[in-house]
Amino acid sequence: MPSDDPLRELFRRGRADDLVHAPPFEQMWDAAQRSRQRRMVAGIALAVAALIAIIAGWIVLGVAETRNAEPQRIAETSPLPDIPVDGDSDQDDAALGELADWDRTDGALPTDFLIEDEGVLAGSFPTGDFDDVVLDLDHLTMEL
Amino acid sequence: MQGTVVERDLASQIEALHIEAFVWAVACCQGDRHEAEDVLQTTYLKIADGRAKFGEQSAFKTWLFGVVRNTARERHRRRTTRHLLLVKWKPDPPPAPIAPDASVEAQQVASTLRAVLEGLSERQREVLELVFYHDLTIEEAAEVMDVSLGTARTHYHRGKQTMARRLAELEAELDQEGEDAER
Repeated sequence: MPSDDPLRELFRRGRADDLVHAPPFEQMWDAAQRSRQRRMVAGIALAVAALIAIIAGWIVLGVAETRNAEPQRIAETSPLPDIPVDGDSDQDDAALGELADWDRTDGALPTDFLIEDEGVLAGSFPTGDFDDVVLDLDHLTMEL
Repeated sequence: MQGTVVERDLASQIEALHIEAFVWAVACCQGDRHEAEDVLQTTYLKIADGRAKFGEQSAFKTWLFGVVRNTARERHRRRTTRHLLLVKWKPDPPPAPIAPDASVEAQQVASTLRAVLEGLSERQREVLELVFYHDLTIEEAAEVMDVSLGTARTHYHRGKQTMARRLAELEAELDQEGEDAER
């Protein structure tokens, strides 16, 4: 069997010039390290930006939800029977009766409403919305 | 070079193989040294940022050479795709020249080696390069090339036969030219 030496020798001499042209290791390794650091910084910046975007979105959505949820919350804590009316007044009874008649006429009870400030109702009924139902606690007149 | 002990240890292991890895990269890039530099740089980047990790399932050299080979192939595939897309607008780049500053003899030997290797398939070239130049065993060469041992052996034997025959032919041609010149 012929020896492999001539082939090995050919490779050794044929590749000798490549050895001379090998770039410095430190230069290449440091460049790789710098590139890795740049990637890490870019990755961190991206993660921070994503986090900020998520927080901003959460705040915006949270604020919007809070605004939307406000009437419901007040409605839950301030249902109609708790409206402070002067129960002794005939006018009160009449006004509340009128409201009850209105509900019956429309075939439903209020689903939600709120007291925007003292004596002012706003809310929605299954049959339609109404705003600014003014309940004058002194006179208990309603403006639908 | 800064970094942790592990990084420094890794760097020193790579440094010990750096020149060999470069020569292997040149072989993987069909003699294109600029491309080989890029391949090696990308390989080091892969190692530095953890995309290529040494699992200690083979020799470090085998693993490093495998990463170099894969990186060269990835870049080659990407370049081929780009070339196919841009073929209408961009002419073919000239073939990689032998370094002009190499000595005449070195140029002759390099061109002889190139001529001998030309008749071989890519895998035959790879296995011969790894065994004859980088002193890997056929088993280790198979690991680098990601082929079975049987396949690597077949490529090795066929490649060696072809290479020896081609070398003998070239020597005969040179002898003939010498005789003709003497006459």
